Amino acid sequence: MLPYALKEALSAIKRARLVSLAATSILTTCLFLLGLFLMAYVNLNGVAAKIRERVQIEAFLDDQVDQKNALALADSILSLSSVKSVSYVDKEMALEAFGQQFGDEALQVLDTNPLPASLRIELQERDRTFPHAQRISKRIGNLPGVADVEYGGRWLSRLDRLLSAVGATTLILGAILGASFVFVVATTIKLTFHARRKTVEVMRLVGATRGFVARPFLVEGSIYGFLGALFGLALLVLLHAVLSSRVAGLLFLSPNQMLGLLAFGILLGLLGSSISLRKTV
Amino acid sequence: MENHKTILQVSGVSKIYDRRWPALKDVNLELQRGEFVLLVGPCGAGKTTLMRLITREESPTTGTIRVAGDEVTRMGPRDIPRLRRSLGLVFQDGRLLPEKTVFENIAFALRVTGAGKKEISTKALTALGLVGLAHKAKFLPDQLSGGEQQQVAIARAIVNKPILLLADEPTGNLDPEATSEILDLFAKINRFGTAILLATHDTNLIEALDHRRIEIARGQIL
Repeated sequence: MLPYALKEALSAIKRARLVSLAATSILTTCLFLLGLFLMAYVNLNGVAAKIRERVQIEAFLDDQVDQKNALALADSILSLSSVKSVSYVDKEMALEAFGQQFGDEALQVLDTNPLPASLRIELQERDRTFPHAQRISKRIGNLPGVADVEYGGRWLSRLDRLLSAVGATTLILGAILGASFVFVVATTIKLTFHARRKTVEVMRLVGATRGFVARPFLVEGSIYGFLGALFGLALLVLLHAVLSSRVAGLLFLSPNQMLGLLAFGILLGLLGSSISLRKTV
Repeated sequence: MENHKTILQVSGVSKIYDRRWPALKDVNLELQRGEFVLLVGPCGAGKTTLMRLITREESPTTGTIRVAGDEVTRMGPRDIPRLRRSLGLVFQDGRLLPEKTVFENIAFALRVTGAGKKEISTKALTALGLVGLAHKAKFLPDQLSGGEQQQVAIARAIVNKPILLLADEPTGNLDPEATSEILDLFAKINRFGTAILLATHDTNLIEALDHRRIEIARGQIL
């Protein structure tokens, strides 16, 4: 049954070349745009993962805390299970680092060293996430002798917001493009159904079931979906190749995501043709 | 379909599209197994409407239709294909698929029943042999004469060995010679036991055939 439906579907696509070409082009554009946003999301996620890898907490100490007390404080922080290592940065080292970052001219205008001593805390790999960093920072900030805690929370939360926004945009765009995709397939199938209405009439009169009549059209819709997704992916591969020479470390979709996109195309094609056939078959 | 003696039973069937002009009004008729009956009447008498009701392309407004005991009017969408497979349909215009060869047109009627490749080949060629067109199996319908096209349509109609063949003005587009060939073919099919209900308005045809006649006019059996 399926080989017959496939044969009929392929011959229908071949017969209506122009319509098929137009439909496939539109579907390719839809899936390409969707893939593009998915790729943007994947890359942002990759960047976020790298930033998270470098999550570090810096606890700035009160000026009254001497080196002995600072080291005792470091020991108590090191006993926390999420903490991997703690290093002490005294006021001179902080000034030197500041000078390296902003130049010696900046130091010349200062009469005294305004920079506080600090403890740099490296978290265990499993705990390098925004909620963990936030929780531990809060705990460290409550310890006596700690004046302030910095862990890049603002950056991390901004990144998370950006990721959520891109994720939500991808979803909304996916829904809009998906609906357009379904509409294009449904319209195309309606056209090919109209072109084959005599065949369908004969099919019915010789005793074909609804499933038998519908199958070639469902297969045809799935083929359009598959081709749209395949060509959309091919365009993405090309774009990635062009951009990779300019942007280092640009990520592409994983094999599972590519398969997902292909399955999404087929599913939408099937849905479009089902909608189109709902009232006619 | 059970082994009923009465193949077709139409009881009190009316079909109303417009209240002023009912297409069919209280139609009653019966066809026995192996019988050849002519449904005779002018254009617009309701012959085609009756055929469409028998094949369940439409439903009657009132009344019942039974084919081999099964009540067609009560059939659900799933049962209709089974009904149509038990009927053979021949139309005035043949209704062949122009992009398919003669063989494929006949094979098509078998394929929808889920028949296998070998069964399709055997039965389609047998049906073509019966109508005398096995040698034109690879032709497209456009390459055949009107009479030959109608012969292919008949081969398609009988390929599933129907219990009842419904022919709606099957010779309407044919010259006398081709008409005669088609009538011979119907007689041959009838001899094999298939009941035939042939609808026509052609007086020459009616006079040429010595079968029971049911006359219909303005939607009513006379």
